[in-house]
Amino acid sequence: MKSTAVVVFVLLWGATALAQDGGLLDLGVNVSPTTELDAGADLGAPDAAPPSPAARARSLCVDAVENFEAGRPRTALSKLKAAVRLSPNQFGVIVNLADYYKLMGPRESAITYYRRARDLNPRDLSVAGNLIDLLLTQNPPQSDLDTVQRIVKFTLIDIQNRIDEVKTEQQRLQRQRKTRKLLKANNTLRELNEHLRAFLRREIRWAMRARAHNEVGRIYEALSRMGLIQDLDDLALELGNYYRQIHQETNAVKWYRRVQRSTKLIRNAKKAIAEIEHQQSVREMGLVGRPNRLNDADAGRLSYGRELLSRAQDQRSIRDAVTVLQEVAGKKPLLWQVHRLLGRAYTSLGEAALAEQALLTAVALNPTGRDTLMSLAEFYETKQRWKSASTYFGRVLRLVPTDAKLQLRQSKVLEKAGWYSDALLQVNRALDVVPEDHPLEPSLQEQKLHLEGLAKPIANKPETTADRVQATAQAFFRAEQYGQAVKEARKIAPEERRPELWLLLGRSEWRRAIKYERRDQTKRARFAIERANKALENISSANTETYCESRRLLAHLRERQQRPNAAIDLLKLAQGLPACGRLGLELELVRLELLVQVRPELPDWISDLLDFPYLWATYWRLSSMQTEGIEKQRQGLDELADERFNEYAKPLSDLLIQVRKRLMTGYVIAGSMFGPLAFWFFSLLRRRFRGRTLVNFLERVPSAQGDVHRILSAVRHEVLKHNTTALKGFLDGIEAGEEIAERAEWCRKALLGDLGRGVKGAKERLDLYVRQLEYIAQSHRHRLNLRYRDNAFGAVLSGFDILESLEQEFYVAETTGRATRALKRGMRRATERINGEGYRELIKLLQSLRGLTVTKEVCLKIFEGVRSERSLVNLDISELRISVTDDAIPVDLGVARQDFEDMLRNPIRNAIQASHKMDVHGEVVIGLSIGRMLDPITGESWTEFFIKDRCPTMISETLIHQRSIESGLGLMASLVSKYDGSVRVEAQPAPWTKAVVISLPCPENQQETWSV
Amino acid sequence: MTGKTVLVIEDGNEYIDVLSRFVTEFNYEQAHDGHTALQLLQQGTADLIYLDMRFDRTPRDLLIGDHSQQTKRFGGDVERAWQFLEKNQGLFILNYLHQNGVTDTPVVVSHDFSNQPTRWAHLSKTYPNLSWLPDTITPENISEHFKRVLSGKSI
Repeated sequence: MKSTAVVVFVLLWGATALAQDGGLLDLGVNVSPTTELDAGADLGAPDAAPPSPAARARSLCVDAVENFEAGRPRTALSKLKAAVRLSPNQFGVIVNLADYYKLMGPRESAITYYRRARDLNPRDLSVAGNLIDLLLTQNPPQSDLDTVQRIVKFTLIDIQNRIDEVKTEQQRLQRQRKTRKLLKANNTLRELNEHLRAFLRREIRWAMRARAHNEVGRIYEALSRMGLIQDLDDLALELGNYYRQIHQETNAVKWYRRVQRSTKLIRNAKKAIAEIEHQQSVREMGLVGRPNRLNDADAGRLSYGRELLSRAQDQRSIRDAVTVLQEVAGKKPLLWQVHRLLGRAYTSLGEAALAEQALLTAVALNPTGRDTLMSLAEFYETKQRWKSASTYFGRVLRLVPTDAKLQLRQSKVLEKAGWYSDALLQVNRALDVVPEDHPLEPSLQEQKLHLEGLAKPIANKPETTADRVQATAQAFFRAEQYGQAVKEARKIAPEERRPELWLLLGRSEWRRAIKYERRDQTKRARFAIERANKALENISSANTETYCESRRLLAHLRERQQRPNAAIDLLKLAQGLPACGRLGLELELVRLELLVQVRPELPDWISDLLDFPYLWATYWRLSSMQTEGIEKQRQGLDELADERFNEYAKPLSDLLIQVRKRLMTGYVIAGSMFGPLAFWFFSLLRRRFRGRTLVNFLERVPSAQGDVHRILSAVRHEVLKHNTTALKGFLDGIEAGEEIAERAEWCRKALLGDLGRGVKGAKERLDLYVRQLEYIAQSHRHRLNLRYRDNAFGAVLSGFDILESLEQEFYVAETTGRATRALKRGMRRATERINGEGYRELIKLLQSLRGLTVTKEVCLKIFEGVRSERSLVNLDISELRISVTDDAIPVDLGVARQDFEDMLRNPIRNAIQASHKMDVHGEVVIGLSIGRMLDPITGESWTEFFIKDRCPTMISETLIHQRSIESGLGLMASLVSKYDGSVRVEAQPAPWTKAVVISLPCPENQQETWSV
Repeated sequence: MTGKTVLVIEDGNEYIDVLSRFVTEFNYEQAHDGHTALQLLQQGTADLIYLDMRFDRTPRDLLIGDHSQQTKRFGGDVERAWQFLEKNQGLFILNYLHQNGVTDTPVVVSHDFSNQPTRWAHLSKTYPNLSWLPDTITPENISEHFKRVLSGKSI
């Protein structure tokens, strides 16, 4: 006991250390880095500074543990107290002392120190748990209940918060794929969930003590929702006991009925329910509560009589005792104790009538007295008046319904009275209340088996020769004397044998066969099996129950004879009969079917693969049965298809494992066959549907317009321009049946490239441009799917793919000078795709890039944006002086809106800042002139934006083109350049000084009219 | 129209290759830059000029146009000025030939002006003998267009 206490103490102590500091090394003491250093100095250098109080306290704690382990608890206590005195605010030290008090008492001191520890660290779960447990151990006052409620609520919220934090952390770690940390977080979460459950249980205990019955139910439901119902059995039992204790029997029964999983606890709960019900019924009968007083004088007389009787050595002494007792009975006729003693005395004297009368009087006076009733019952038992005895044993059993010994006795009495069914019922009740390891269990089982044999035939039927033979044979069978059983059964002529007897005969022969086999007497075994076969074959299907049993046994025999198919046929015949029980037969059938090797010539894995549909269907059927059975069990029912599921749960589970193993072969093979196919299919789908079209991409990233426009123009001029003409010309030549050898060679080289000379063809150039577009999209974190989703490129690329596939046909044409049908057909398709759809869609795409319409409002908005910037908001900036010449705006520019805003914003901001710098107090005036310029040679129109200011400092062109990041103009120049525009600086007439001029080409919006 | 000579001015050989194979009714001469073209025209053999627009494979020293002026226009960006000259070299050659007295020979520019009416209006006003063909066209269209231009019909 003591050693257990030490272990518990050390464990608690270690657990506290772990909870507090994360390791046993710290021995439960909160050690700061300074403390560690101090301790190190103490050990390593003798002339160093003395150790800190915290380090000394820790050392004392270590000593205390050693003393405690060595069986010196008082020394341990004094050391712990000294440690607390040295370091009164050290959490670990105080916890150690509290743990000591918890183990060794007194309880109040433990509570005091746990409270102090909690003040120091209110979030420590171990301390909070111990404190609550201690506060709830005895009948706590209301103040303690309030404290417990407060601590429980606080701790539950705290644990819930911690769980939330850990879950968030888990998600983060999952994203970052930090496996080790994730495992640690999982463990923490598991621990926190355990704490949550423990504190909910404490809350229930609090609610019990505080009589907050609604809370009890609520918390219990919360706990059961957490999914550990089996762990709640002990809690439900505890709640039942508690309510029984406070005389709330309805509540108690309610909680007892919630005990559903643990066999032992269920038995206890059932016992408690039976007791409560009995007490209730006894109360209802008015048998309790009658006053039964005995004054001192009566008690003295009674004691004297009892003493005389107990000391009586012979008949004479007994008669003396009887005389005294009769005297007492004369004075106090209602004293039942006297009559009981008289009854015993008369029994000893052999005066049965007087004894019976005295005992009956005692029973009448005290109808619920166990001893009185017992005496009368034993009297009748001695006199072999079994029915009377059973009546009074029965009354005793109503008072003590769980007394298994008495139940067994009653069962035997009932049996002797000839009431076998009642006797069997009684013994079954006894079996229900005793645990499996109860010493009476074997006797009860024996009695049960004995009664099962007797109860049926003799109770209801008049006994015949056949009955007697049947009973005797059955008795021999039970006693494992199978030879005798057979001999007995054969006493009845075959034509007179009933199905039950045939079955018994078959079973006995079958058991004999097994015995012979064990003794290696194979010949005898074979003969026994044959006889068993014959016996069982005699059972007709008229008696369905016996018939089913015989079919099962026959199936066993066939299996034993290595004829599993015959066994399967037999079981299938029985399967159709409703009395045969679906579950057992089904399992037996599946087991046999799995046993049969249909294709012995094939390897197992091929056979399994061929059996895959059967195996899969069987697995599905069995697993449905299992699910159904488990669900019924969960609902407290244990039946499935008229049978007890529990009996078949294990074989069912074994069969499922067996089928699953065989199915695995199929899964692996199917996976290896269909996996790559599925992978290929999904990658095909992915290629087909993943990624954006060019238009879609430009909608999302308008700033990429410039780069995309340049590449599209290049595709138009370098890939399509000459080749569309060549394609059409070549196709026309083919259609006209002209000599095409030289043209075919040229076309092949121009379109597909000349490998010999290393000359790139149009196809290769197209691929290059497609790749460039994809790189542009990738740089903006987008993925293009030009081949499958973009109309323009889809058509052009597929056209060139067709041409590539025709390469061989080109060679043929080069040699023969004539086009094959495939070339002709292919060329038609390719020309249609490239010159028609591809070209049309590409032009559409190019036109869609002309996006932004520049108006006065757009320019003013940009200016306002700059003016309201935080760095400029305090400056005195006048309205934008805007002037437009030559109807320059509104104009459509092929520029993304954001880029255009950046182009204007930077010089406007610079102009404002420079103007303000030159004249801090003056008003800043900025002008914007928009004009149009026509190039006389190329005829191109350019829209020019003059951002004018009055600052004398010139921004040089070098500054712009040296990409001066500081002023932001380099960036702007790059942007302008991206859209084929230009930037320059010009001097301006007064009142302006200079202007930054941004020129942007303005494309015209007419639809292109040419088509091929 | 058989026997008429077309002077193809381009930076590569694509046009001459296509035309000589698929538009076979005409004779072709080729020049890769403006100076060579002028020499050939002064020899008087060409009846029609077929002019490419973009000349980015021609050596830059052979490009026609005032590079320094373009550099100034592009704010001192030399590279941008070269790129501008390359991109519009066809029209610079046309201007050069015009300035050197080649005004009667009809010129067909290979460029799609259908979506640039203003620009085309300006160019056709400056160069009355100018017409254009888009970049994607059938050999028949080219042949018909050449014949129409050479016969002096309105385009």
